[in-house]
Amino acid sequence: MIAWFLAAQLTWAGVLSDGNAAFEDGRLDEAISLWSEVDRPSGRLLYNLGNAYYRKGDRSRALACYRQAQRLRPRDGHIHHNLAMVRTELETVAPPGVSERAWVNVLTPTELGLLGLALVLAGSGLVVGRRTRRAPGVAVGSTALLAVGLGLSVEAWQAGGEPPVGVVVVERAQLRDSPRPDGDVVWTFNSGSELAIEQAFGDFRLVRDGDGRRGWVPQSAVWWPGQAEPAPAPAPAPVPAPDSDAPVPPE
Amino acid sequence: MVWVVCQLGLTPAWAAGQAFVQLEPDTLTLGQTGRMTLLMVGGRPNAQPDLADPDGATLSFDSSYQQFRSDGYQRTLVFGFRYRITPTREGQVTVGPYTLKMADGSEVQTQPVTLQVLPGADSPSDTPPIRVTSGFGRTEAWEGQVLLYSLEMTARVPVLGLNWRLGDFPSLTKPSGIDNDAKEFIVEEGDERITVNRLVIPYVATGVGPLPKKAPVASVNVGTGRRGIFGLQQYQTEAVAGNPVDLTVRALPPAPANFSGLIGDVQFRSRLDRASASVGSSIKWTLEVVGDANLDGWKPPQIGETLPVAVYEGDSTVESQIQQGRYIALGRVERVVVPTEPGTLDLGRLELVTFSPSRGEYVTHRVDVGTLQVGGGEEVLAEVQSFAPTVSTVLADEGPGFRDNHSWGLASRLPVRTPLLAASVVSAVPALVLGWLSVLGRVRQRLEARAESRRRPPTPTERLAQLPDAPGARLAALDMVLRQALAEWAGVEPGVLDREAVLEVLPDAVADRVRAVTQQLDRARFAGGSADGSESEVRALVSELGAL
Repeated sequence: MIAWFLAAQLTWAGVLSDGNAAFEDGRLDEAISLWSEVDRPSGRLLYNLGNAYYRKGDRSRALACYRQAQRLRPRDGHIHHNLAMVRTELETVAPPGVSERAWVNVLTPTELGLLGLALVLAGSGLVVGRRTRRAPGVAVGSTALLAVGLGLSVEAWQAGGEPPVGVVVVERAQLRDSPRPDGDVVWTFNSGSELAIEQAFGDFRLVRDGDGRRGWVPQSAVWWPGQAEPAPAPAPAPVPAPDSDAPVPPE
Repeated sequence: MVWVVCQLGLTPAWAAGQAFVQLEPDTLTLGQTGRMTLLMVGGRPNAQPDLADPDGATLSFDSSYQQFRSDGYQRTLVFGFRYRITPTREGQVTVGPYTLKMADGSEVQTQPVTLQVLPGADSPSDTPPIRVTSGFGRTEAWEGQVLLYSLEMTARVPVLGLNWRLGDFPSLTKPSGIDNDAKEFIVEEGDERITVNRLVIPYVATGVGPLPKKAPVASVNVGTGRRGIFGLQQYQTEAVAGNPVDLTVRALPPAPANFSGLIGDVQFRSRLDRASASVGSSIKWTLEVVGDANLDGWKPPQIGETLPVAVYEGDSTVESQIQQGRYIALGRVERVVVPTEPGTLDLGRLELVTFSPSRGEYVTHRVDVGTLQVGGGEEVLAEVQSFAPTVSTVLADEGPGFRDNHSWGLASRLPVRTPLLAASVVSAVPALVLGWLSVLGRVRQRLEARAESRRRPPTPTERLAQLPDAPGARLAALDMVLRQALAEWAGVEPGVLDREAVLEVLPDAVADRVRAVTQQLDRARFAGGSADGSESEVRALVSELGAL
């Protein structure tokens, strides 16, 4: 894993500074392109990417970047500041708290996982040490440490797999009760609304907002870092000539 | 209306040698202390200003700072002096004007600003910890009028992450080129610090009729007073509603034919950059309009259509801001006038019809374009280059508080989610295995002890715990228990016990008691004697024999 990490850092070495140079020169598209190519982007990079979108005038994508950066760097005041500023400018109508976990405002899942691991190691050490030296209360303490540590580890693992938060990038996004263009419209989100992306089905995404509304919106209406821009519609298939051997699709 | 464009900072670059007073907030309750900032722009003060207390308030100096403000390529030095302002009476308190001396000997004067002072609450319990007020400041508006929706949250407890939820207003739209005005103030009330968050949103009324009576909701994280992990303040989310919207948009009365389309209280000013020129030269004519109208896309009528001039389009700019709770817009339209004949050229008068919401009627503004003395010159086709609108890439405004990029750090992050969980589980395995083995060992010990107890005959003590209830059987069992206790003490099987031999070697006191209880038991069993006290004596002897 460490080797993988080092290889990744070598691969993306200089991307942050190269993008910053392009950003400072006003070559925002180049900066966005550079930073968008990075696999598993860090919180710092996502924040910079948000700044690039913000400077370009794309508040919604900036909001999505800041939102994901905040998950990775919850104590970064710069991210909080710009996030609040974008939300104010967008007049975000949905409450921002898509995650119900309060600790994500303080810790990242990785930090919580490390804390859990430390507690498990401490509990294990006590259990193993108790074999040679008995002390009162060690059994209870070590069991509690193990239980809490494992609990934190599982919690961190689950939080790390929370669905991404997408932001509505079109002026109005209609929430439908089924993933079909003719599904019943149950709600309309304004640009800048923050939605948890739970599932994909074709060109639709199952989303949930902070008020608990769930439904399907078109893929092109929401965006989050790492999501590919919607591909242009494919050209219609050529109609085979009557004497062609190609199979004719059923009506 | 005073021509207050410069005072409101609407000029693209800050003009040199100006001073302004800003109140934060501009409304206080009696007993509260707010902030006042004196800004000196483009000039250096000769000393820290000594401001006199306004009538109805006291000022105390707090701090000062200096900074550069950038506007394009121009940088302007700004000195700021912060004061604490405490009202001493209710009503309106006028702060300023103040005349200030600059380091170069010149003097600048601030415009007076008004502080609104409300009566104080009878007691702190009269005011809730979080209060939200909202509204348009009016109940009626005209179609096309610019409206300001003010939202204010006052918190007497620590709060974090304010987020406003507003209702949809289908008959209102956001004007372009102006951002919401968001401010946060700290107001002191005794030892208490009150946070005031104010958001002002500009709208243009585009439809008529009453607006939905929806109330905005402020969602905010409120400090619980408890400390959580790492000693950090714990917060819980609370939602507080403001006042329901109460506004009806009225349709405009039938408009005259020459209605300019401007709806608002505005003023116009016309200016030629010189009074005389020669034929073929370029003269810049500027028409400025300032007021609270929406100026998006507005253009003045043509000038000089029937006169011996050629008129070319120049730059047009519109700037708008929310200042001191008021919306104000400045539009500047430029035309380039090129005279084609010598003589006195009267460019005429413009008649601009606007709708005044404050008066509720159409108003005609008459603006003199100006008069030019045109001298002779070469009759050439004028070439106008310098006034053409410049084409440039416009980047989005970053706002005053935009934080810069991170300049260092890793671009990619480690995929540790599953490995961390796996490491925790693996680390727990030794402890879990050892714990399981320990539990297994204890269970096995208990099972073995139970099996052992089943294999051997019961001890005297165990027999005493299982005495039969029938009197005869009980006496026989007591005799048997005593016999077994003596045998165990002697280290022989009960079947081969020689009771007298054992009694010989027992301590005399114990031996006598054994003899006595044995005789009592025998009399009770076989001669109908009393067995009172024999059972307790047997129990005592069993215990003592076990201890010997």
